[in-house]
Amino acid sequence: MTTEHTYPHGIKRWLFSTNHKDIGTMYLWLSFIMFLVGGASAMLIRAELFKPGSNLVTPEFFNQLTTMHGLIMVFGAVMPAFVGFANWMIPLMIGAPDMAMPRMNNWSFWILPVAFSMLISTMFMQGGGPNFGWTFYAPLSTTYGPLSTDFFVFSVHLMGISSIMGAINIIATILNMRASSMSLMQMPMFCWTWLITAFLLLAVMPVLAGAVTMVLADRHLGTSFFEAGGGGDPVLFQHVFWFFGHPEVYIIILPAFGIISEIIPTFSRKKLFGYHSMVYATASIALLSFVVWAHHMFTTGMPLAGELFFMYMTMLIAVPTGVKVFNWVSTMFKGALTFETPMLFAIAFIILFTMGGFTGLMLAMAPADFQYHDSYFVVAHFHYVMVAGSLMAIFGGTYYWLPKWSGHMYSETLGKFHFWLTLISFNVTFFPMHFVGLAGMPRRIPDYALQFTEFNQLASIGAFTFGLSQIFFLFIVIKTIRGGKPAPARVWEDAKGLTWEIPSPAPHHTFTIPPQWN
Amino acid sequence: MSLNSRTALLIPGLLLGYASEAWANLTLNMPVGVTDISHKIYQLHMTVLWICVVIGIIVFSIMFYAIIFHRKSVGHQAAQFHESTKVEIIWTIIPFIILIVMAVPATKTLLAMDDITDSDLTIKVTGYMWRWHYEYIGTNVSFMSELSTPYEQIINRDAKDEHYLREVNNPLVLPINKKIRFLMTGNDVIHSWWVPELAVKKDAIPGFINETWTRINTPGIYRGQCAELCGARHGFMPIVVQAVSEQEFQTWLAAQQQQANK
Amino acid sequence: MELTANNIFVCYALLFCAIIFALILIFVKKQKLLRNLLLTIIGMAGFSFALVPLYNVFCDVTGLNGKLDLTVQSAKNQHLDYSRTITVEFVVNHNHEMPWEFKPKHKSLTLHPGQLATTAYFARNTTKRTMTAQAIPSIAPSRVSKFFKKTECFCFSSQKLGPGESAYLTLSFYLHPDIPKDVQRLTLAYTIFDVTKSDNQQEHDHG
Repeated sequence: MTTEHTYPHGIKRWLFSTNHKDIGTMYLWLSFIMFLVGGASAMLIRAELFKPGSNLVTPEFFNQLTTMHGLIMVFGAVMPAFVGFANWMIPLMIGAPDMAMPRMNNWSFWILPVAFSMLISTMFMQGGGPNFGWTFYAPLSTTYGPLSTDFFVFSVHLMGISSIMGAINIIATILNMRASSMSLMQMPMFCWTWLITAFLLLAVMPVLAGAVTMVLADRHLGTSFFEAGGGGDPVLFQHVFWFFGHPEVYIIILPAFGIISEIIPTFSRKKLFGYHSMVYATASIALLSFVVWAHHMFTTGMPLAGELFFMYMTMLIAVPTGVKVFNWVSTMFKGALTFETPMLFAIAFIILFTMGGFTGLMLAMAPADFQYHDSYFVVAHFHYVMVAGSLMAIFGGTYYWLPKWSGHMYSETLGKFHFWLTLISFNVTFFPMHFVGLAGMPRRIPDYALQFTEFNQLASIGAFTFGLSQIFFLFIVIKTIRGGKPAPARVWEDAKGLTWEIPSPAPHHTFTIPPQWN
Repeated sequence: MSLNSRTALLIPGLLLGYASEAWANLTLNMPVGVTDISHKIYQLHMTVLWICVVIGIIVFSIMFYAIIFHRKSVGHQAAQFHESTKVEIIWTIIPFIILIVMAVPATKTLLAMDDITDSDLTIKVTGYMWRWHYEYIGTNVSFMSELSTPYEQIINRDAKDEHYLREVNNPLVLPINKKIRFLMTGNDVIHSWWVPELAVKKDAIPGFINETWTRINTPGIYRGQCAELCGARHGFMPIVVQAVSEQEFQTWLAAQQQQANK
Repeated sequence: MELTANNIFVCYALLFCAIIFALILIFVKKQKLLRNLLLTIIGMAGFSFALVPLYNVFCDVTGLNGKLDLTVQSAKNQHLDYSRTITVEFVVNHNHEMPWEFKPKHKSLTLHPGQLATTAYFARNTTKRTMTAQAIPSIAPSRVSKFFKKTECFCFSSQKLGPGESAYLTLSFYLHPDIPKDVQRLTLAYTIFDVTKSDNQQEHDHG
């Protein structure tokens, strides 16, 4: 039962929203816009790399493009998308009327357009935008960074505040506002993965804030944390950054795991296999993520003991990750499978993310990493886990829940078309990168030796197709929102959980009276 | 690769065309290289790759089996099982054992790479924005090594030659069959000295020296690139190592010393 | 602890975090979960700044990054190990093309562990203005850095030279007898940095 009341319309509804559905929607749209901006930079990168010596952009601008692409995709596209899903779905899944702190939720969102406007505006500042890679190693960023570096620092601080506030909200909501009698071990897996992700965010976003503040201090306050001349050490920067950076990539993938764990059981018509095991595996991955950071630093001159330790710890993460993959496959096995678009994305996730996991295992082998590090092999690896992983989960989740959000079914034909186009163009783009990386092509270069030409051309063609496919996705989403076959409350035949007890589209306020669950 | 393993890999090699050494030297795979360490690293790489391929095939086959035979449209009814502690334990322990199997050659190779004692020659490598400087420690010989690809080729006014962006004015000349120790440092920002065929990559960090080594078994010319973003021309500071016989090296070094003394 | 800019900044940062930590403890009493989450956040922020001194301590204790302690070591009561010798190579780097001439007097020295040795570096300011340099030592292999004990080193402080001025800068050191037996050679590198700007600033600040 929902209570009717007059709520603001127009701008006020969105600017002052304390409604988890509206805020979720805003996060998702922000993420899509950022995805297109980050995608545009990717298109320019791949256009430059289409052939050796293309000189489409200057090497200086190329470095800005690669930096922006990384920052915007990680902080602007993937993370806000998952926060959007969290906002929309967590209260629905646990039977809560809204998030624990709705006003803070509003601030968490509205900081982001400010942060990203600032970040993007740096490209137009004197000296250009940040050009030191999303990893902003010192002393390239401290001593040689352009004027806009300080705005980059400020915008990272803003993004961090947004994430931290969001994480607090999610933890408080999940721990305090579940429908009575829903124990933690009974809530949907998506909630578990987000709960763990929120703890990771709380732990490491402050460390990023510290790193970025120290960069600012080195630039302007006469400190030299990362400069040897003043008694500092550039490698210290890498330790601090990657202490944040490695858990960050698990922040990027854990919610994706949660989405896949929702989709697979529904379309297999079978409960998720090994629920408890999945929880422990996710928690293990999160804990282990804190002790592997220096596998990004094998070539910095680490002593043997350090290399061995980080190699062994990194290899260990394969165990709980493997457990999750086996559990998903076991959910499908002997189910009654149908292959609507969300399921197609989920299956593609399992295969392609696992491939990315395998290259991750190869990268963990420290001696071999001396050949892989800073080559296109690494670029291939992280695009497999972040694009075929996180992004495909986002697509799958969108198709899965769009009918609930909008009240309309998307066109299954168009959805499948988007899927196949995305799947094929993704692989055409990124699979060849394994080869050129192994053959010796370094990262972050605007021009390359002739033997890398063919695979780079293939990658560029794949990338342009992939980019166009996502414009197509935008079209599908808008079309669905505007109209389509009305969706029932239980959109999918075997979907289980409180989400599917409420009408589609979900009313503005839901579960204002706590539901009787189970 | 020894003859035996090469023969053993012939069938899958023919099938997948990936494992045999001929394919290894196309730009499809990591180079086997010309040092003992590069060979060890290549072996480790291929071993782990094959293990992953086999695991992938097994897991995905099971999944595709379900996709084909357990679909609703062929009338399959969903089973009800959704947990099994026994199975969870098994598929935790078996991957753990596989990891231990992988860790053994990895550890051995890392130990071998860590042994920098008893070197015959020391080269100090300094990364600059955007060129490399080499100094033969114990002699007066030192020089800058810069990209020598003509500007006209980069801006497409001339056709690109074979070693576009991977040629320098003064290559690093090294003797084969000698243990060569490298001291890496940076002049300004972090660079990284990488020659794939030697399997040497080490960061050049300003204010610090990093040590690594190589022993080249075969004469030849080996090309590499800077492997750490260092500014606008990061992609334009290649490395060329010219490995020659010991006599040729001594002759070259003596000539360089004479020039330096002038 | 020296009064460097790094240390001052870290102290302020840790103090700031401690104050916020205390405020949260005092004022957020009722909502335990919220309080604990906020404490975690501020704790992790403090941790990231604390990493600066922690890293230095860790490196000093383990010698992990080849960084050498810039403080005097006592030479008293070191017994000599006559059973072996170690060659110490002296190598020089100029940071960002620092224009000074800077050369080691000895390219290498062979000595017994425990033996006190003295060498020097020749430095000359080849420019037309007064400059200040800071020499930063780094040792390879990094694991021997905690056995390299300097009793006198020009790297302990910055060096100011007028235009054209030159100086012999002393280095006295010994290798601790506990240095691992498999070490036969080590390399000591000095990178000289131009710190004229910050030196001028310090003079300006402190009169």
